[in-house]
Amino acid sequence: MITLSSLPLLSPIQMKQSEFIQLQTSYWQESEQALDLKNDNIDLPARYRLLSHHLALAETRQYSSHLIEYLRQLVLQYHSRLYARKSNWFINLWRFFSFIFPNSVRDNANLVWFASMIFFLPLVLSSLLIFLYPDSAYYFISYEQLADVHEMYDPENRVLGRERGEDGDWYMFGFYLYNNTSIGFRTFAAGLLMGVGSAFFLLFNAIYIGVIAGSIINVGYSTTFFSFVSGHSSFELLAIALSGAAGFILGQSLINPGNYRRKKALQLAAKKALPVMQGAMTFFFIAALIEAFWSSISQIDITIKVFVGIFLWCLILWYLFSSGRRELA
Amino acid sequence: MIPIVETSVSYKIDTPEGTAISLPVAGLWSRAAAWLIDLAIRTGIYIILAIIFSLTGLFGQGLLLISFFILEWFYPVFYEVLNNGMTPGKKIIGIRVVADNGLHIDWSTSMTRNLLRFIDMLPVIYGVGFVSILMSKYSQRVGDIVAATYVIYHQDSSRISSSDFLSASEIKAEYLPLIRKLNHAEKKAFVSYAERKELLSDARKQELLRILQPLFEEYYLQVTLDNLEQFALAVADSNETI
Repeated sequence: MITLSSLPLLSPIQMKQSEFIQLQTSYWQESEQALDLKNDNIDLPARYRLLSHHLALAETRQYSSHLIEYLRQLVLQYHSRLYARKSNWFINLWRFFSFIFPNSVRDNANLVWFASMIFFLPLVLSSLLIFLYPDSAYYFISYEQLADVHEMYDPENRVLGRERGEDGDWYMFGFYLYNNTSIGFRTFAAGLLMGVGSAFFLLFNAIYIGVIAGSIINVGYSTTFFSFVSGHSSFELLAIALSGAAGFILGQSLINPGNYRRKKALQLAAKKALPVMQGAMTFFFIAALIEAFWSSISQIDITIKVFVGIFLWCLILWYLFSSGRRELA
Repeated sequence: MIPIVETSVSYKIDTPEGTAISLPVAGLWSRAAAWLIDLAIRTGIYIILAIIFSLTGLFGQGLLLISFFILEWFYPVFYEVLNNGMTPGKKIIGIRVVADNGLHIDWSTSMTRNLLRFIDMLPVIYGVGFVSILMSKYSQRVGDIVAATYVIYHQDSSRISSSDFLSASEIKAEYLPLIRKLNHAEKKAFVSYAERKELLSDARKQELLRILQPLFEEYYLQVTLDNLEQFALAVADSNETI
């Protein structure tokens, strides 16, 4: 075992680099090897302190950059080895969903409400507009696109949503996962543009969804529409709203950084926003699963589907409002 | 007097042991090169998967979309977290991502910097990221600034080993007067040269020699590439301190 006091003292008089190297090389080589050993009995902290000392000496004595670089790398390796946080991914995951995520949503309740308002209000208003004035749909969406959408929900079709074959569920899962989650990620990232970007994506998607919903109900396909949509609507719509809220957290830190400089405020905001976004990402994933494998089943009666949909809405709202109020070990 | 120019920027972290470790920050071009390599790898994987999955119909296309999603958003995240901050491209170029405390980055930090890549990619081919890297002190793109991460040069410790340090050789007497005249910075430059000579191309050595020429001429020394190296070694071994 090596301790600071048992080492040959480095002369206080400036030492030549070559002497210094000669004196310490074997110690450095041992230290390099000690890093590779998995054995925790080796006194890594003592080695780290001494290597830090050597680095400091090499720097003050202005030894060559090669030597300093070598010591720096060695010290850095020790630094990351000793201060690395050990974590258990399973416990982390459990803690995230049981505690961190619902709490981070509640901690940012103002912005979550704000994002929900920007998303759900235009959604309802635009579908109402189309319901009352059917022709106004063409202000938002082209004739061909709307015809396609109508065809998808035509009760004459055997399957709901998009037409598909046997393996179609998997294809649609991939499609929903890729498409919807990417929208969520962009909505979040766009929050950096003072929050305006997130607001834009929220509005854009709200109006798009609203117009399609309104016009399908108009055509009289509401049975197939609600049968398809009710199951995943809770997860998918809330995921978009939460992505927007996460974006607004970033945006707010730029508009109103409080007592911090904008850069620092932004870095702190990112730490607050990320759990919300990670939760939203999980919601997107679940929504894609439901949308591909449950919503598309046309044999199940609409009452069951709507009931399941309402149940999921209650479940998810309960989860966000009241779960994880105290941390479980 | 040889002019000394600081050509690289380092990010300094203070350790609890009272030592500052400085991390040389990677510049625009090495980062761009690493990105291009990663792009090529990702495209390659995508093409291979597309060929395999095209045989399996819609089910395969579904898997293809899932893998495309993972490749697009999570390829860097997985590598940065699980492989020491290095995607394959970064590893080849010799750079890696570290957190602001010098440690490996965790999942959340990596996700922050990679999800915000969307902003760096605006308006086309990393326009914002390009400007941000050039304008920020530590060559950070927007995602790096927000996630508080730094992309640094990573020297594989196998590349410098303690056995490469210069060993003593005989000093020619004619060099001594010049060595005594050198100031500390100049000596350091020579020693650094001697240490790095294996890594330099001949053309680069010639270039460095041309800068040093006036110094030698003052002492009526004939200088060629060969004896420049000897001289540099002599400086390293001289009794004068460095």
